[in-house]
Amino acid sequence: MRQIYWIISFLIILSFIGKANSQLLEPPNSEDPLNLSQYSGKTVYIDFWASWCIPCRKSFPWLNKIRTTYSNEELVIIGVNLDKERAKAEAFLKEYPAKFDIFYDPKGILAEKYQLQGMPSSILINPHGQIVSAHSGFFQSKVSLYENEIQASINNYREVIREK
Amino acid sequence: MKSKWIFGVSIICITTFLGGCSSLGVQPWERDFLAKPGMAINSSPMDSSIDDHIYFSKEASSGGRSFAGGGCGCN
Amino acid sequence: MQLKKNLNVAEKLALATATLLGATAQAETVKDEWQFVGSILTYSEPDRVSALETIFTADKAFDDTAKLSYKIVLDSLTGASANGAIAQDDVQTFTRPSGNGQYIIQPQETPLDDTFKDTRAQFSVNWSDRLTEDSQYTIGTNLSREYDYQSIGISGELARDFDRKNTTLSIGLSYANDSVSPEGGRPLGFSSMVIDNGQFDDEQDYRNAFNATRISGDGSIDTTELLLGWTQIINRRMIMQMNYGYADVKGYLTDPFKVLSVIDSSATAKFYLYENRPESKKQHSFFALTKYHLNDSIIDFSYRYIDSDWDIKSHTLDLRWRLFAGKNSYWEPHVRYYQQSAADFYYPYFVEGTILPEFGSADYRIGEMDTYTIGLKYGFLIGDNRTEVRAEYYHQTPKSSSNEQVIITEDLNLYPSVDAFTLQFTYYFD
Repeated sequence: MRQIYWIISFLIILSFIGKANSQLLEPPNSEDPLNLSQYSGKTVYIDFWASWCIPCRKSFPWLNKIRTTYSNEELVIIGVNLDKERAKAEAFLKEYPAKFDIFYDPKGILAEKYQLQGMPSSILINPHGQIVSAHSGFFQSKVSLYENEIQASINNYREVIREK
Repeated sequence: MKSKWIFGVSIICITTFLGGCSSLGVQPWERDFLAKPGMAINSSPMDSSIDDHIYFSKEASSGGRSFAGGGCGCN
Repeated sequence: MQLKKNLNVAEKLALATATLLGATAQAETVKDEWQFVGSILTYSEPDRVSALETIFTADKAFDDTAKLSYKIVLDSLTGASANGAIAQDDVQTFTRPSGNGQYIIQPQETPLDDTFKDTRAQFSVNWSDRLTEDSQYTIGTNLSREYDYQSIGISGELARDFDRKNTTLSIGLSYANDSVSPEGGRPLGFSSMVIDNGQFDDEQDYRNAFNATRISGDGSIDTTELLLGWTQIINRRMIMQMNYGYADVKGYLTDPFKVLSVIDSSATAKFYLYENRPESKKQHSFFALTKYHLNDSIIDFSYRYIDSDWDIKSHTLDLRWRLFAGKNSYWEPHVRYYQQSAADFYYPYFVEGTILPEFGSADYRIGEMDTYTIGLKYGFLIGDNRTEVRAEYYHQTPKSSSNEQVIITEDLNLYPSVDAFTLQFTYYFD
């Protein structure tokens, strides 16, 4: 009986490790549809959204605000749209204008690649091209966390440059 | 008799579900239809609470979707 | 270089506007956090009950995850309800449930007690919040008050998502305590209705006889329920739900306003007995729902099976088909079919000189019956606000009981059918 408890506990711990790792590891290096290599030296924030996703409406004003806080040299924001029909995405953008680049992924190739767990989802890539954080959902209560992560990625790189 | 009936239904349901388990469900970014208000499990809670109240007062069984309740001496 | 600097200024201007836009958008979401819905409904059974009901709900969202919901219901009901006795070829006289006065039923008319006039107020509050990344809880309380009935209840539910939220399992528990205090007291089960036909010396003499058929104190009902739910997303267009429910009801389950006719071999009513039901009821329910999104419509189909230890088994089929007509409006036809078997203590009447069973009721609602509903709803916008108008027709066909021992002629219509019409208007103040 006790053995079973140990095995179960081990499996639970293992599943958590697996989860934590999958968020940090670089996805399998297949194609690079977003052409991320061109942003070396810049922090990249990728936001996955769709017109039917209610919390996505709340994230757009915040993304626009973040866009104003940093220069294009420091931060790149890409909104990856996952609508199957582009017209729906465009109607959404009329209502909730985006001040950042939009990439259309109707087949969900990127969503599949990054194994999204919810909508909206975000991925933060540091200037070295490594994924430093990933979030599922958009919560007002977590806004300062999102902002701190972006700030930290930018600050770290500034220091690296200064040291050089 | 009645427990057999319930048991039978449960078995059918479970096997149906487990059988198709690998192909069940959608990816989070494929919820365009499911996100519509009309696709919510209880898309008209106002209507269902009114209906529950009427049928509770006119029929001998109630509940199923939600709690069978009580709360009124409806005649 | 110069160009770039200029661009930056333009950019900054654009960004400043964006910030402002962002601020207003956020203010809007704060405003959106309250959501109010109001509904008004008229219900009428020709020659029987008519009711007016208003419902108002207010939901407030907190921190994207939590929600507080209030609900207020006000009901007013007037009219007549079948008292359980059978029609006769002669005039019948019944004592009102309160003991104050009588009501007269004409020959070949189904006896209806026209004393019903009641107002009900109900108030409930629910709080739900996220517990962890993939689980949620809801707790709530419910209060309901009528002139002669009140109820207080609590409930709790825990739900957990699995497999990218494709599967949700839930468990819910609820408890309610109701108290029944009819005017004139509760009748003693199977006591004979005291009818003043001039046989009493005075009012006090009648009162004493009436009070002898009463039990003291209020009736109390305890309802405990368990509800297990399984919601499963099948594919991009289809979702299913299955519930199992168990309800344990204990206490005064007798209807204090219902009687049984005691008839002789020629179907003539000799006297009336107040009904008497068991003090416990256990019920199992199984509910399955599926929703399917076609290109321009949504099908909502459910089946429910209920079995109770009163021997009442029921099957319910319900189909709603929401047909989108343009971007913001839809038509939704509705059909429902319901069938139940009779409670083991359902008797349309008792026969004089036979041994009384332990329990008995002639309430047609626990007898065998089929019912169907047909309805139509139209959803549209008034300004930017969602609005719904719904009309429904409900028909009950009670079936003859196996507990019939005396031939009752057709013109006495032992199992009259019942019709009801509802008209409902719902407005979303968001």
